Amino acid sequence: MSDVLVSVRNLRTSFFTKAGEVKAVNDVSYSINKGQTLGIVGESGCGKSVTSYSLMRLLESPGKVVGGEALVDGIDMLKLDEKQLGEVRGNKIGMIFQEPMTALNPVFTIGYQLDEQIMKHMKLDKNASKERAVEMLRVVGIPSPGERYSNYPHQLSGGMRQRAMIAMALSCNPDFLIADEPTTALDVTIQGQILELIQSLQEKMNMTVQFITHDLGVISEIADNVMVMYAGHTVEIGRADDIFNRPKHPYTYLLLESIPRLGRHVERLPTIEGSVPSPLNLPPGCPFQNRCPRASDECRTAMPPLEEHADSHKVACFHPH
Amino acid sequence: MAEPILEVKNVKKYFPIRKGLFLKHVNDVKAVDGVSFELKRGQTLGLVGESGCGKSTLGRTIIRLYEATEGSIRFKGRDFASIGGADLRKERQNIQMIFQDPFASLDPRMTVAQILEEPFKVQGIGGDKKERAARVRELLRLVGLKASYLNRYPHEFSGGQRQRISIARAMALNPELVVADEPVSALDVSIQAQVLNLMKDLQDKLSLTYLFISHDLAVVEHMCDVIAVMYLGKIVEIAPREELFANPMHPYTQALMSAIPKVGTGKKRMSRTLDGEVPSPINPPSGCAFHPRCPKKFDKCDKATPVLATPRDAMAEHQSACWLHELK
Repeated sequence: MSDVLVSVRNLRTSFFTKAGEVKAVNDVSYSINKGQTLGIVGESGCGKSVTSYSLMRLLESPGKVVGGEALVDGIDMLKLDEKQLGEVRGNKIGMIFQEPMTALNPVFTIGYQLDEQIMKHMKLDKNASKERAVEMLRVVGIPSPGERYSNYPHQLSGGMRQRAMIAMALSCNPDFLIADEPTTALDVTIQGQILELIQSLQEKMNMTVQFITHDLGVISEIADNVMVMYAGHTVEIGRADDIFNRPKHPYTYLLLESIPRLGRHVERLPTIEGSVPSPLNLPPGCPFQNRCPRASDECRTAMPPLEEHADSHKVACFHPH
Repeated sequence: MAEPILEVKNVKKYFPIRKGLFLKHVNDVKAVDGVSFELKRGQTLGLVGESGCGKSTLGRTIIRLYEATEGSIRFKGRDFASIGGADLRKERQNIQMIFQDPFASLDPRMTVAQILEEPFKVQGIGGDKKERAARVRELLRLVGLKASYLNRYPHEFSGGQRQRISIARAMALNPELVVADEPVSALDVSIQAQVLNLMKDLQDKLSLTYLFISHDLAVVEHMCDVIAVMYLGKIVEIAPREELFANPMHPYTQALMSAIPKVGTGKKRMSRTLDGEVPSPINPPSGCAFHPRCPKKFDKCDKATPVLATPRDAMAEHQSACWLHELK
């Protein structure tokens, strides 16, 4: 039942810039069971996207994975050569992005781009591939998929492009889907449609999902487990219910307090003072110490280890809530 | 009771579509299509809606970055829509704007000191160099930035700090009304609360009136006294905050509220609250513009356009434009 499909161990990724080494992902570990959804949440620059790009091997220079392993169905993604990667990407792992135009090529039709990978991975001929492509466009809820098949990306609205990209990512029945802020650029009513779509396809295909977002509401409604990242570190990981209703790490706790929520009107919002430290010179010890109301001398010298606090709820903090 | 500082009546903003050699006027994008509301001094009115609903165009029309196609805008009881030249420039001291993108709204080649001094230069006020410099330092302190930042350029600041600088610029001339267009949408969550609190503090300290434009209902609920929900160029519902959230009457408002993901209520089976997308404002649907997506539409909805009115079982300040209210 609960077999692990994705297992990332001690992943470390750095960007080697002129100004020095930026440690974007520091010793991040997590696993996802088959058919489940892990939400990765954090603010810009926390390393949530770099984690996924490292796993997909999409990092470009000066970014480099410097350590760890990333197993997907037993295959270490970090050890594959380009040819093997081509087999795995699209076939076993699909990825959707925040901005559909980064994944869709503007000079080819939607149909051409779908056919390209369906023919490659599923070894279908042109006609069968077209049938499959139109079927996928229908599955993701694009009206008149037959006509849309021969449209170019610019002829589609933002929500429709997002659907087309999802169709592409799912056209070869991947076991694992990485969704990087797939609804951030969309309006709430369209966001609802896309989330519903991802969820129903996930159930139908028993897909495993890694969902990255900064939107705590979205993650709360879609994820089984949640990992909270801050300045390249995992600060807290556990079941969604525990993270959102019994947060242990001061960062998670304050973040949840500081967002305005419907039906919880307060005159003033509690804030997290200051801002994220520059990744070029992170302070020694806990990366959150300069903004943390609970910080002590210990936090300024040593990095708190990620330790199990309650059943499968891990926190990296010397003074958890 | 506070008097209205801003009265907007039946304002329309159409952008013409021209085609052919002689740029013949073929149609219009009806971005704002007949909007009326009043904003009382010291209050915050929220304009909320999805992209393309006309909320930003309305804000820009009110501040006269766009000229209204039709309708009247009165500021402090005086006509603001048709004044020009020196009158307009003088009146603009009292109406300022905060933009969404703090990366685009600050000139990258000006220092913070120059950015904050510019409003005084434009208006030709603020005294001599020394007095202006003192005022600029005061502005920085007002928004919680250090005086040592004065000679830095915008690129040296984070998004939250930049938004503080643009807020300081908006406050320079002691405005009475501030139009804030998605002021926190481009900021990280932990920074949003800081900027929202700053805006509230400034409102108390300087007795400001805000027109607050946002797509985020939770942020609008936090900031606003009165909330207007827009769809395709029209206000479909307007009510005091507590009333709107306790008793949303328009099907679009209801859908919008239920579409917002809630924190901590647990994983749920998503349901699509609304099908389809916002139609084009060039040829809006007949009758009620929301009818193609409305789960409660009936035969009257595509034939006649409902107007904003107080439904029978609602409080007086609550207005909604929907034919359903007549059925009850």
